[in-house]
Amino acid sequence: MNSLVTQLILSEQMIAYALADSAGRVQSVYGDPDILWGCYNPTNVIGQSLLALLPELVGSEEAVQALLAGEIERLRFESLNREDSQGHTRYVTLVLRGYRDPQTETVGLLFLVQDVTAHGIVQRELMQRHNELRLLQERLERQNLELVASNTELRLMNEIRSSFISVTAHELRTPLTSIYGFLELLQDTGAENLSAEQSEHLGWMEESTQRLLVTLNELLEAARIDADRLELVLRPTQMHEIVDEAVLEFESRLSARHQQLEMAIPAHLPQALCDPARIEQVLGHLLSNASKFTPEGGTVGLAIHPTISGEFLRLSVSDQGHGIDQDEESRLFERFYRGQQVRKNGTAGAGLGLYITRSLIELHGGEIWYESKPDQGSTFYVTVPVATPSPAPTVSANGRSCPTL
Amino acid sequence: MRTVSKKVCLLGDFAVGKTSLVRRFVYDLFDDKYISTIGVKISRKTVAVPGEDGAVVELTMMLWDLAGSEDFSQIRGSYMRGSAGAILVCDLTRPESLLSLEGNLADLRQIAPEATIILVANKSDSPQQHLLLAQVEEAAARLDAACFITSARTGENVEEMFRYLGRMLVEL
Repeated sequence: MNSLVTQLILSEQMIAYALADSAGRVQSVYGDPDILWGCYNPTNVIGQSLLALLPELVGSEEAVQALLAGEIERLRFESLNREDSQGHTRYVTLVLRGYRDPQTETVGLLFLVQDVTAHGIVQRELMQRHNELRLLQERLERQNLELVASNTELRLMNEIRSSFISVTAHELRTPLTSIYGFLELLQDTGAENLSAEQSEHLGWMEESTQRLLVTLNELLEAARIDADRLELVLRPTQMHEIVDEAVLEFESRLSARHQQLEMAIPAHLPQALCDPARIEQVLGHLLSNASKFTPEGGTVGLAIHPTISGEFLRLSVSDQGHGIDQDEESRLFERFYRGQQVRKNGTAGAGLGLYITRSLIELHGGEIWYESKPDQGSTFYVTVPVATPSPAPTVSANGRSCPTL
Repeated sequence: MRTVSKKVCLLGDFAVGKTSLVRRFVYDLFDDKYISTIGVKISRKTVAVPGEDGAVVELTMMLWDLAGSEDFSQIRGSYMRGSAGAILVCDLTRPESLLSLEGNLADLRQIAPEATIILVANKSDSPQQHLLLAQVEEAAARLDAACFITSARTGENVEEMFRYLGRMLVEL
């Protein structure tokens, strides 16, 4: 009965075992031979050496002697992967221990194998997920480091480029300013001694020098923006003051092209919180562009209104040009980008105006965008924040506040 | 011909290619799919190698492919008992896998101090290598081990590596 119960327990627990004598020779076996021997599947095991029957025990000769001598209690291998006789992977726990038969006092070996495949499969699935996550984590960490390194390198290259532009522009601007100054002097003091042709040449020289100076100034401005060295001095400002200054500067160009300026600006507007010189620069640039693209005799529009939220003032400048192609939309505010119309007309410019304009507006916390239809002209919009009662801060190009000088 | 059986353990971090190296050597097979090993997988291969006296020895290598995950670090000790040799495997695409080998070696030396060791840097076929050859060679010198650069995927240097270890095992 006990023997039957033992057999049932062994079967239930998926255990098989063999008993070997003190020389390690198999004396008896119990249980499923597939569990006991796996793919090794020896025949006629009685009398054979356990060490010879199981290649898994290669290297364990000393341990087996130690077991028999009572020097160690057991040899245990957990989660041993084995193939069964059908070639399926099974997981087993293999135990070798010495034993004494209390009746005969025989010393021998108990070789016990338990099939733990069900547990092993679950363990393997868990381990698989865990390891895959770890591999992903390692990859992400590595990519992060690479990105940081690339970022650092790019920042350095950007700084070098900005420095180069800045230094070069400064070096060019100084002599150009002298040239322009002397040309103006020549125009003012020596004009009556020059022939009509010479006067005309002088005029072209002055115009070209002025264009170069404008380009160099734009390059310097862009370099300052890129290097986060542009600072705004914000204060509550009446937009009418800015408009008056900008339009005054603009009048000569308007009359040269026989154009009209149509304004729609309410008499009472909330004050803007801005750097007046910079907003005047923005307005000046937009008006200049609008005039450039409006045909002679046409009309340039300028309007200012508070937004619905009341938090911003919206300025708009419109032209009567050919409009802007849709495929230029993503590039219009990029550095050095010159639109198709500009290139077609051969209009002068380094392609920095809108980039600088956008940077200045975004530094104010505003937005810039445009609407355009083919052959119906374009309207550019910018928003500038409305002033609040709190004291005006200074904002640097990197967005950090600092005391106003 | 003299016949000898020796136990060899493969140690290293998870997913470095221990199982793939064994599969390549024993079955000349490779599978791209990564499947975690739990516990230990035992394979065997018999090779003919020159013995100390030049005579050919038939060596059966019992290859114990140990799970690399930390969860098995406690029971790994029992697996290493009786090892005549050990292959320390790292992954050329994962620098951290080289660092963990020193810990593996320390464990091995406690249980099988006389085991012959070689260092293997696997996945030489990968274009995304983050370990330099100089780093691997420097680690091998520090561990006082021969060094092999292998690819279980292409088979590059795999047979050579196992045979080299086999020759070392029969010469001792």
